[in-house]
Amino acid sequence: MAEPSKAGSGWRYGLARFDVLSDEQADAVHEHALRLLEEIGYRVSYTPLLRLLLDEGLDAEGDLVRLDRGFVTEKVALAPANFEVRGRSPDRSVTIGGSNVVLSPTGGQPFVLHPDGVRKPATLEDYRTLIRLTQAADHMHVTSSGIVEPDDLPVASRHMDMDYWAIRLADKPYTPVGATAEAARDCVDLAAVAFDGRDEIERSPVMLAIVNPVSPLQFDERMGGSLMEYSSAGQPVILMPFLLAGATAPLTLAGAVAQATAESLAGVALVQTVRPGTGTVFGAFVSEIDLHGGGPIFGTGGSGLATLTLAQMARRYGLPFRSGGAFTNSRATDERGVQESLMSLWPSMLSGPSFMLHAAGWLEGSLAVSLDKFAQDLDVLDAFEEILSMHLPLDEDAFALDAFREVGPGGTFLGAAHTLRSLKTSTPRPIASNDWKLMLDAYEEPAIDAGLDEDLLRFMAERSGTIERAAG
Amino acid sequence: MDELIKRLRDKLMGADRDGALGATRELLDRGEDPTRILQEGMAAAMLELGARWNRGEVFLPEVVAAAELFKKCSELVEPALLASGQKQEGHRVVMATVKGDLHDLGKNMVGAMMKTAGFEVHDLGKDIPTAAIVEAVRERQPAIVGLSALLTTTVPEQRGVIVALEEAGLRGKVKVMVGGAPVTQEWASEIGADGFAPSAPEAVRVALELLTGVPSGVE
Repeated sequence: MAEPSKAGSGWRYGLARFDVLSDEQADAVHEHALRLLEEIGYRVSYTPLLRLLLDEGLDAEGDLVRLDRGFVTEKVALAPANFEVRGRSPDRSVTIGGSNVVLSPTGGQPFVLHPDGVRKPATLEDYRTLIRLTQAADHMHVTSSGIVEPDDLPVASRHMDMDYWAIRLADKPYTPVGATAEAARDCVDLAAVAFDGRDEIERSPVMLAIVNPVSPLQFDERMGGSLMEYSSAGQPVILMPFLLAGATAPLTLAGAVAQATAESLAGVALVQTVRPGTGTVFGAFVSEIDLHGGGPIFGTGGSGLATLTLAQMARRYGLPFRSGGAFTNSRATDERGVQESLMSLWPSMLSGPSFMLHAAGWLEGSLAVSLDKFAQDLDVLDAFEEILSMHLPLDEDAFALDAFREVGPGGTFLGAAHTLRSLKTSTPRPIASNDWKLMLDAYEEPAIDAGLDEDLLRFMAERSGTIERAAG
Repeated sequence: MDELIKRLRDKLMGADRDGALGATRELLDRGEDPTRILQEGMAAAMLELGARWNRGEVFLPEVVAAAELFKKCSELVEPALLASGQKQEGHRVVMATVKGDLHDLGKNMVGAMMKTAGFEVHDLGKDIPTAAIVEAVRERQPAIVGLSALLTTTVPEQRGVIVALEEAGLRGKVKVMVGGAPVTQEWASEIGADGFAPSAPEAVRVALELLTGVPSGVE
């Protein structure tokens, strides 16, 4: 019986967020996170970013920097507790932080599982279909520009094509896809064309950039470069360590949680060093692995507990938290997919996230996306919103005393006046009610000024030409 | 069986660093044939470990730890091998994560699996320029070069390596295998790779088939 969420704005988390750690336990996680950064250090391979850190007076051996706690504490304190990201339509703006929950579909997949059961490398047409579906889905508040990676676009300029269609076919804020300094700069420049110039997007950000450390404890040139470009332009950054306990993090969850905390804090501190006051999201993804085969496994208790723990740590630092989402190793929308997705979503949702990536569409351990899985995930997101936004009106009419007087003991409420009166506001949506075909049929392409579209295409053509010439 | 050879084998399978290195040194100190140390002590341990892994009796971290220790023990034995003028037996593999990519978890798993199957593995590491891979092929003359990439944006480097091998006149002298999460058989075929595998155990099977032309039967 969820009220329709205001499209693009997220929904309010209505429950009290709860702590899983005692104060002493949280202190221990905090202390170990800081010790990792101080004693083990953080490798920053992107020279301009490294230089900034050295200018801060930090100790370093080559590109291995010791981030002392004073530096980390000072910088993290500069990060805002909440911030706004706007879409092409003002109605679509989202607030990240506070009790707002903002959802985004999956991202980064190279393959699409088609309705006929065949898995193929993604194409531009697949990409556009998924962007349209995101636009049509009320539960998706942010467009994922990396929802799939179209294999039929040239690699060197693909990031611009993807961001362009995310801007063109949807009017929600989006996560850009540029993942090197040069590509991130292109994405920022493209956004500047789309949103009235660089000064304007710096004043009022339009994208949520995703930056992943290469765990453990390093930013490679690509991620360091993209962090620097997005931060310089004032575009908020979601720091997203992706840890596999036993492989890229310690097998014991305490170590993995401390590492996730350290990597998120390091990223936040780096963003604040580049441009103080830029929005950041404390994000972490701790998965466990199959210790026989080595592949990640999803929906485990350990991963869920890690999520809840990291949400608490994010609250400790006054930072918005990213969790999520509907993860599975399944290669089909089958029972395993449902089970793993639900067991991933429950702790992700109970963590009270500010932002959730991969909330819909994820399959096969991040390798594939499917329309059916997208729709299946939307079904449960509906129920999650109802529960967690505490949509439980407790006014006098809701208590329905007049209905009891009408129906009496042993009667039925089916035809009661109260029931008829309440139909519009209290109709439950059954699970399995989202139909992606109907959603796509109902999709309306948001209007775009023809001149603006020409400007965007011209920018991309010129930039692609430059890239091609540079590649020889 | 020689007690010391057995001790080396057991310590290596148990990833007991001090025990395995100690046994290796003792064997070298008593003048043992380095080929025997390598084959009967070390390679045999890895083959047995691989069999146990296939049966589900050991975990992957145990295999990886043993493979890393195998490398340490090999470094002790190598000078004696060179001095005796003997060549290492076993098919040689050069592995690398391509330029621009720091992800090496999958490659490391494949390397560990290869060692358990008796391959001699030279891992160049991650973020390896094409020229360095070509040079390693020229110098070490492997039977197989394995190229790993996790990012869709670094996968094209695999094609670059194959082209560079052709230009260097080396393509016909080595089999090329490719792997990584976004890599497919279609991509491997498109770029002219000899083999592709979606998982570490598959990589071993494909490698054996490439070299022998016979289905390996490795499960």
